Amino acid sequence: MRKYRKGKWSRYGILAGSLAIFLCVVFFLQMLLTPKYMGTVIEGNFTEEYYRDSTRHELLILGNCESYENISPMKLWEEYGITSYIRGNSNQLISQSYYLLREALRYEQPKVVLLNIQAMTVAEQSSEEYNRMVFDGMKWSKDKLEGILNSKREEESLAEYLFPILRYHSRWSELSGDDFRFVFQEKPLKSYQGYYLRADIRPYTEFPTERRRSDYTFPEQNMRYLQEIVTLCQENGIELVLMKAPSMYPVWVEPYEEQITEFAEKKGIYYVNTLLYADEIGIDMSTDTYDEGLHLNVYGAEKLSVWLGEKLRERYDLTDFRGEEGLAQAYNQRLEEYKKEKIEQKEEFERFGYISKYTMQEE
Amino acid sequence: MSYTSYGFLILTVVGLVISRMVRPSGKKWILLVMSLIFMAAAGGYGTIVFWFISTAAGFAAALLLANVADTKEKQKRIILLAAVAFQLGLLAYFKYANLPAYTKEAFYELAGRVYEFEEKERLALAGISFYILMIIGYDIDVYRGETLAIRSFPAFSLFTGYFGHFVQGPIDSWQEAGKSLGVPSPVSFTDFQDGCLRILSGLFKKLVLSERLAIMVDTIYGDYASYGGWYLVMAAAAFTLQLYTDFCGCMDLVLGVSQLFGVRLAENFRQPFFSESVSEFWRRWHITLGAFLRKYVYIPLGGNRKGTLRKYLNTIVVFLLSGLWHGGKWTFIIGTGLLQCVYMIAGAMSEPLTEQCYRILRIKRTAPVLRFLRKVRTFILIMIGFVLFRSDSLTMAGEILKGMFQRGLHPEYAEGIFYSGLGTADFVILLIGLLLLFLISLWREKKGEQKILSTEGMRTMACFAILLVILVFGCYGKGYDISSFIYSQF
Repeated sequence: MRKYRKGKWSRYGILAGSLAIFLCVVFFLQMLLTPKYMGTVIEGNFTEEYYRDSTRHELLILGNCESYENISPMKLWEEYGITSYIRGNSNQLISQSYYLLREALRYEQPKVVLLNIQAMTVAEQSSEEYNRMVFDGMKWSKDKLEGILNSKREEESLAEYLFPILRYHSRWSELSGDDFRFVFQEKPLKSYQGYYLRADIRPYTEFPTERRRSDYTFPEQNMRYLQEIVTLCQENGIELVLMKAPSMYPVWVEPYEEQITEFAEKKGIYYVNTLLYADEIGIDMSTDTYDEGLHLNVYGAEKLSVWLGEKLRERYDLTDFRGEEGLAQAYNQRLEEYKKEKIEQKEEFERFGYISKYTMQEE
Repeated sequence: MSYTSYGFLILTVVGLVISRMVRPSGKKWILLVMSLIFMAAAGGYGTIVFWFISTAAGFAAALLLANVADTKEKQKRIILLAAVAFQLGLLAYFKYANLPAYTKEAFYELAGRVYEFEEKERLALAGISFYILMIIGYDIDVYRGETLAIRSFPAFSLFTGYFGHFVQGPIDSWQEAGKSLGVPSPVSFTDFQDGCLRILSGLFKKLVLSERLAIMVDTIYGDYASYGGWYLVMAAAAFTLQLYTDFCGCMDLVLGVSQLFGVRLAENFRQPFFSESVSEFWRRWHITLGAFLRKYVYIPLGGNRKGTLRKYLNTIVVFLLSGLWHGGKWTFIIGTGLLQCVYMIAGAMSEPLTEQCYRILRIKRTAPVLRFLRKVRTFILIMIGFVLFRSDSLTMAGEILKGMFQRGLHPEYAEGIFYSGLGTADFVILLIGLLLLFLISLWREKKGEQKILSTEGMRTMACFAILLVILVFGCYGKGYDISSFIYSQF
């Protein structure tokens, strides 16, 4: 009997030991195989970088690329002392903005939330990679789970979000030095409070004519989530601002403008279409865009930020934190890094006509 | 739902947990419910409806046969014929609706002409080729008195619809699998461990080997006219191994899963590439189909008891049916059927001459070199048959076989090692995996069922190690393409 018990213990001991080693190795491999986004595509870092910013923000900006490429929180700080952060990702859906906001409210209580509403026109996610950029860096919570279930495409599985090794295992043959390095080291910040800095210039030329649609009604799900955002803000005493960024690409047509204007008026929400104020802001699409009018570069984004910051400060009495020592120190340090990179990119662009770290991506 | 899907994994785990919580007698009900879920997910409700009709008909026929007195032989035979005809009619309707058109197409191809036709659409029914043979086998066994007719319809339904053999076999008999399903054995720790190792072995064959081989095969066969010489030979060999690792991997998986539930299914493979002749190969490859055809067709036709000519004729009938079972196209009928007969009959006819040669040259038939060469010859012969099996038409197969004797051609745009679409790193993994498979097969060939890893602890560790290898090197999910992040939408 004693021998039998000993055998049984040794059996389960080996099982437990093997399982523990297996889990450790899987955990390590998962860290190793998950993309680090240190090359030409850096946007995959944006969601997770939010958790590394220990400061609280009076202004939280949500939306797709029109948010994180067109507004510079560093400029908002420099000019007005506004503390802000952009929770934006490529092709971020309205529903995803809602879940990111809901999650952010567990960490902080912003005074104003600014939502870029271009994504109201997007019915569903066009590619899995965009979903991955939104959710991979997000901490596990009810918000993340619901967000994934709500916006995952048919071919995506929840198991692959729960265990990213199931999704990224095929990267074993393309691992780079960065993949190994950043298993053990913290990655350098790639965004400036969620802002994607681009100092190259590619002037606006001409866009294709607008693609006609049979129905310009916003998808029902987007309206529902927009309402959810409104409710969430109301419940938390947050002022909501809706904005359309000054992208020249012809996707924002009159019927959309009418619907969002009507919605904002009905709910008593401030809505600003910056396309209508492009001259007042001073946007010059021959110098202020890096991709022919699709998105603003840092020069355009700073102009928009100066204009927008003024409006928000006046309207919502945003605090000037530049005099608050600890906070100012953190922001000013990041501002210096921002300015340094801006100059480096500017010089590289002036010298070569392109910025090497973005070139492969655009090819 | 496929055996390698997350859905099947969840179904298995949930089923196992529940089956641990119920009494042994309740296990069969869990297996039946699991089978119905699997059936619905794998084939849809059409599959369930026709499986039910077929099962009910087979069950009723057996009861009728059991209730007719043995003296009324004619009546019993009529019942049996009607039952078999009904089952075969269902199979023919769903699987061979296009056989006449395919036949016409094959004749046109032989005449160098093109025959165009519109394929008849039939509901795709999962598992029909397998459960119909199992039902026919059961009815014949009842007719012969080899087994008693089962009185429980749920038990019979579990036998015909069991998820472990529903989609890809094995073609089990009621005497073995049916009874094992009815009363699953208790599962010891060792059984559980062996089951897990078997599942992992199957996943390794399927996800690490077969899926990589598929990339090579699809690349070259998808553009076969641009390849020539040894590239086509490589693709043919790769397909032969792909088919083996895919099918055998699936069998390992379902046998392993069944073992976890205490259910024993028949083995379907026994190291087929160690065969020294084609006939031996077919005794080691898809064993249960061969056993079915031998028991219910070859032996009733007289087997090898009625002279050489009759033996050859019986072989032709069996392999014609085997080819036909694989599919209604003539590439299947010839590739896995008639061509194999030609090999076997030619082998049997040349046997006296071969023996004489050995005597004259004073070579021992069992010399290791000769045994090795015979294995290589068998592989090549089978590989040729599988070229037809993989081809869309006889013309395509002919061009591929002809192309093998041309100089090594490849398209300039083709990527990967040897222009096969497979990257170098993947190719290395494939070679290592195949070497490992060969060594394990060699062990099995020499030591039979003796375990490679002697201690329980080593087997536990091996389970986790294999799982890790599959997790990383398995070809599953879609590849992650970071370049998809490029702004294409805005």
